[in-house]
Amino acid sequence: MATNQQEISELVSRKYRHGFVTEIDSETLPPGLDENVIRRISEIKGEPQFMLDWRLKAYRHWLTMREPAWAKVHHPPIDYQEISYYSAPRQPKDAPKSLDEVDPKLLETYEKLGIPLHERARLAGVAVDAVFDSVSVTTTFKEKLAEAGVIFCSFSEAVKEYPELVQKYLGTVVPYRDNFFAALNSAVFTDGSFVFIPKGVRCPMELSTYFRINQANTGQFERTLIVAEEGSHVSYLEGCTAPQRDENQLHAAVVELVALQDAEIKYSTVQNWYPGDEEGRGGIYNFVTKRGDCRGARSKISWTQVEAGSAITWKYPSCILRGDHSVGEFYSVAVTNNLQQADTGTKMIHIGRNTRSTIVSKGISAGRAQQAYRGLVKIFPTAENARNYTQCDSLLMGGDCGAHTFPYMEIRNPSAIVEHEATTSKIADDQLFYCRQRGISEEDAVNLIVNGFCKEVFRELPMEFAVEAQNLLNVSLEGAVG
Amino acid sequence: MTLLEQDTQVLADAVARRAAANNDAAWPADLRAARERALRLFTEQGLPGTRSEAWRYTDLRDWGARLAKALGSDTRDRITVPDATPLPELEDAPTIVIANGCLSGEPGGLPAGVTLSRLGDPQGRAACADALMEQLGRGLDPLGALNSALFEDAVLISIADDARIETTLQLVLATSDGVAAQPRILVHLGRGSRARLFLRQVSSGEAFSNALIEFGCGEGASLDLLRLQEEGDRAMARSALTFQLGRSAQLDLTSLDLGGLAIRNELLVRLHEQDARVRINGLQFVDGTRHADNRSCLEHLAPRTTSEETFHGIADGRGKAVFNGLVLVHPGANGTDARLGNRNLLLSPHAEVDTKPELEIYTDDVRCSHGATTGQLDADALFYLASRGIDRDMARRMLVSAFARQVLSTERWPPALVTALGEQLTARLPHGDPS
Repeated sequence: MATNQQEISELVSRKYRHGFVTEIDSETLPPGLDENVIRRISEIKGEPQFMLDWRLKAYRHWLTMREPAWAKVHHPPIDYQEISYYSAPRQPKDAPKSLDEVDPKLLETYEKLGIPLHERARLAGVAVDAVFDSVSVTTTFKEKLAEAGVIFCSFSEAVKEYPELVQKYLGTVVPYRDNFFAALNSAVFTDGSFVFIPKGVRCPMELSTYFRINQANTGQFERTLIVAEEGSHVSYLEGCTAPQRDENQLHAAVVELVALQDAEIKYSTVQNWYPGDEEGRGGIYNFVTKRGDCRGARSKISWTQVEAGSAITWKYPSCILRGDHSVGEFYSVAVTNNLQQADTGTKMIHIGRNTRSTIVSKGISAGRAQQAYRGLVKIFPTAENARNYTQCDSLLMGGDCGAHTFPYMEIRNPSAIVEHEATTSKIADDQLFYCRQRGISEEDAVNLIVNGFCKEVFRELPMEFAVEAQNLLNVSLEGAVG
Repeated sequence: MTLLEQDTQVLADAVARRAAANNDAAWPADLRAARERALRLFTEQGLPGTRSEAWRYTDLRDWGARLAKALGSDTRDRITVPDATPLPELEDAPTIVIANGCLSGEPGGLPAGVTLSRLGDPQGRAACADALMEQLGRGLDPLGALNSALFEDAVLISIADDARIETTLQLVLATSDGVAAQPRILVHLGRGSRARLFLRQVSSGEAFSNALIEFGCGEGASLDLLRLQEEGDRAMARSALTFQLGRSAQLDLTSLDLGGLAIRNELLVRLHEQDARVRINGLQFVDGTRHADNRSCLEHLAPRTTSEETFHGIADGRGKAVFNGLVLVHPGANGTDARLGNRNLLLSPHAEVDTKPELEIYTDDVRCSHGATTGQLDADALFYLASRGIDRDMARRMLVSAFARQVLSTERWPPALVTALGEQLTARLPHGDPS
């Protein structure tokens, strides 16, 4: 076992691959937050009055709120006045019209990340709206999407080009009063993505955004809004990697999804923010509010996530199943190692009749990491024949980590059927032994078993992401068994 | 001052007044000092609100009003104490009655190996006080503090080392209308001993009961405990049962909650030393506007400890059934095996079930699982019975009754008693909404 232990510790101590910083001139507001900062952000972005008013309302409400303390995570208090709330890559007055005009250093960053934007995007048939720090730099395949009537652009652009759509849907799923971090985001968000799929349209390609935090000390506050009109369909991919930093960086994003009648939204995430070093120094604080509203009958929202990074993850992608026969799904793999902490899960709120939800959550905890699944299934008296199935399994690697499960079930309709199952264990010795006596190395055996453990979730990911997700698991964990 | 603050103040004053009237001058000074601290804790904190995670689904505002009223009225002249209906096999069982928090009469016929002492009696005082001091040092929640500040007597039941008590001991907690009782009981099982205890809770009218019972099981001790809660329909009762299990000790607990207007039970089992085992079967039933909230926390502190809990809930009418079951595995408790299952039947469109099975695990060599389901009667089973000529009403009754009786096992209790309890369950249970 000794050699194995050694191999394992080597694997576990592998450095974060995406840790580097690209030096680019940035326009950055000085740290601090007050109404003037918000006015300035709004001004830089040339926003209409309604946006500024909304931001200010959110800010004033945020001032009355307290940071939530119920999550099973520990961190030193965050000084919100030490954060700089705006940082944008310096651009010529006119935004780049093609990739050739984009700052070559920026492109280099993407190369290092393994995202050769134009080539891979074309090959994979994926349109990429790449967010570098806070401002969208380039968007591809816009024309092709425009033909189908799909709007896929940065949030700032949407505010200028489609203010009526933004005004109609913004904050209707996650109101600015929702929670502390959502209120903060509403006040200071700098950019994000906006997607609008018109009635009856099946989005011709998978939409993808790569987020990346770059400037030290800049909080990243994105806001994503996806609206799928009647009968439409869209699959959206979100992936993140962040450069190595010693200071904690705050990330408080908000994602809102609206699915009207018969519409379907599939939202996939691979999250690999910098998790901090072995001693828990640095790393991203990832406090995210994600919620989907199945507004129309027979609509469907599906969340799939692979959470491998961040020092702290606080994230509960949820579905409000308002429309009759609407469907909510949540598939999650969360991996924590070293001193990472994750408190993640979902909420399924059943309001409409015959609504269905499925939750599959797989947690892997190693090193001294602490991980919690926290979920709510709520069946309203109106939700006739609602159905929920929840499964959360945790895999523990090593005697110093922790795995916790806090599922809430509130049922107020007798025709509902709600089922919840959870298990926690380590990799069984007999499984390992079986693989070893077939000549499979310990590392490969663990690899195999862990991938098998996560298979139900990976299967839900779009192909490109499934590959990335497996690689991520390799880097973060494989072999970390004692 | 808001209305709520006003109520809190009224309650704090009532508690302080009652504490001032405590007849405990002869008790050891350190114990009285600990009671003072408990009183301060309660008057500072008051009753917890629904924003507190542990009380999320149980609102104590009505409890506060009831408590203040009961404390305000003078209950020194004790009124009639409700009786528990005798059950088969237990007619002649040695019975200890705790009426409104105090030992009632001298129980006769205690088998050899069982001794009873109480704080109010100079002879047994030292033993009781030592055990209580240990408890009080462990930190208290507001209701625990309330009991600690106000209990009028404490009773210690001791089972001698290696004593095998074959007869069932009966312990009855009875509370009268308009009384706020704070029963405080300690049960100690010596090394290698074995005992069977039948705990009954009864009350009449607007009773308020806040019982704290602590069980200590020495090495290799084995305790079978059956708890039958049949409080009156207007009673508010909270009970906290704590168990400390030594090496290879075993606990088998069956818990039945059938009565009461508002019920809250807290169960804490600490598997302190290796190879300790616990098995729990529970049932809670609510109808009308009744509310029952059962919480259990099974703490695995040592290697190779085992826990198995099955808890059933039935909610009818406008009733609300709440369950919270936590399995907590501490670092070093390797080889832990824990299973927890919660099943609920929701029989009416106005009833509510809130359930939260939790796992908190701090080591890797464990096998832990939990499951929770909530639903209605199985349509296939109903159809099957209908196809056999059994009418719908009868079929529903059979299925509800079968669901409830699953928690009763004849393995450890006399079959005649189990049958009688089963019948009592069936008689008490609803048919479900026939629509």
